Amino acid sequence: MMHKLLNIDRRIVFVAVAIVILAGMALDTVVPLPASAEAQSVFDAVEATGAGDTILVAMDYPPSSASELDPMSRAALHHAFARDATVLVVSFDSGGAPRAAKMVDAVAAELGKVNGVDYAVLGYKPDMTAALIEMGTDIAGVFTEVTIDGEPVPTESVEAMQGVANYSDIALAVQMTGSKKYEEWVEYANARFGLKLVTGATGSVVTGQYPYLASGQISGLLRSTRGASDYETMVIDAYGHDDSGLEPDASKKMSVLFMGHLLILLFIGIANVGHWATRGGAKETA
Amino acid sequence: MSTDVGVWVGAILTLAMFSFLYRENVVYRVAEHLMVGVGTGVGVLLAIYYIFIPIVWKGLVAPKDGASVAWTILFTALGLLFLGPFVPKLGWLARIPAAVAVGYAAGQALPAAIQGRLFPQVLSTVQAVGDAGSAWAMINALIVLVGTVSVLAYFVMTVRRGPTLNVVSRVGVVFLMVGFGAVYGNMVISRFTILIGRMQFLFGTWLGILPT
Repeated sequence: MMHKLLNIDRRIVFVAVAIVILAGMALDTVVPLPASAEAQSVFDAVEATGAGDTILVAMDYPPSSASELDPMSRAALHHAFARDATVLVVSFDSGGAPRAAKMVDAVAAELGKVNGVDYAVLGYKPDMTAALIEMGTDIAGVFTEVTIDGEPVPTESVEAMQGVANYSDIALAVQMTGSKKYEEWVEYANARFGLKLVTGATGSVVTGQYPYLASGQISGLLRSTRGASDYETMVIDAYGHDDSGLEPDASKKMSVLFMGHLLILLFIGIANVGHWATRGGAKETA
Repeated sequence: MSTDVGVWVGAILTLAMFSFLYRENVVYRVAEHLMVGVGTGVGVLLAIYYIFIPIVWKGLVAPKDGASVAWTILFTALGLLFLGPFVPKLGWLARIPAAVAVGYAAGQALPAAIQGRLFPQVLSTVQAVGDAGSAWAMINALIVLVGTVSVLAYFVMTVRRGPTLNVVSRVGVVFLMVGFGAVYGNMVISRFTILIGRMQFLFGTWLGILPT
């Protein structure tokens, strides 16, 4: 019997995970959680900006990280627009750039913001390091053209870029990534040019960001789905559903994740029971 | 149920990938090869649209000035040397752009690592102890300090390891294991979230059964 606990067919585990996730999704609940301190710092950093300030939103992630990072990007865009800040969007991920443009256009349309006036999608550049360094002196020199109403126009002629030459004209950068790209933002944009930076990260890379948070090089951090959930909850609480236009997404995922957590703990428990029981049996037999 | 062709293609490919959970099969392999093929195709297109046309082509056809033409020709020629290995006797030529690329990357990364990582992190680790405003902050700062020093001690390979260094290294191993555990735990959550995203796509966006 106990040996069976150690040899559960992996397909049973997969089916159990699928059932739990589907059940969680069907329940469609939002578990209220207290906001983490690092997510609060992100909210406070955006909240400290005002009308006329420029916020740079960097969505440096591929579609595979979208499930974790899209909710934070969406919340950051809603929050920045709610603050009446001018939003500039970049992506140093080739697969993420078109999705980033699509998302900001959708959010802006929802909130009545105008492309080129209230925001500009600067787009994608392949050599991230060189681009980050050059942006420290001339952003329009790196992203020479933006698309407005389907037509490419010189970046420097766009209203959203007036008075924005380099990092010193940007109040805050919000950077989301599922890879080590945050290191380049810290090392070049923050350390070399003093750009104030808050980040959002997938669970797989977030542990590497905590030392930068502790040193103050990153002013706030959104930790995976939990961070996204905290942040979107704070934005909705502060600006309301209707004014912010933000729907809870990560918050719903958190309740599903919670059930998934319990299932994983259950399986770990079963495996441990089986392990200890059979180990004792093996000794007696010997 | 969605009527969008793109959603259907995405759903079928997602199911093809999920079929691997049962066992290796031809449907999974087709989807896998498709992903590699599409990825390569996208990579080639990106190189053309973001590097060849704006940098090489425009650099030659519509240059800013004479000097920029010279730079474009020089670095394009240097890049073409990467094709040297296709001619067996000229394979050595690829070492020239490789050396330039490595030198450029190292020269760029080293000062940035010192300025952006080494100094701020050492300062932060040490200053946190002095700046601690409460007993908990002090304990936290000391844990970070001990963890940093002991983990660094574990990786000291250039001196003979005495008993003191061994003890400190063992403490470092404990910190490393805790760190790996935290990374693994976060990784599991990360993968769970990706799975939730796919399930939302399949049962919400595609089938319209569950809320997205």
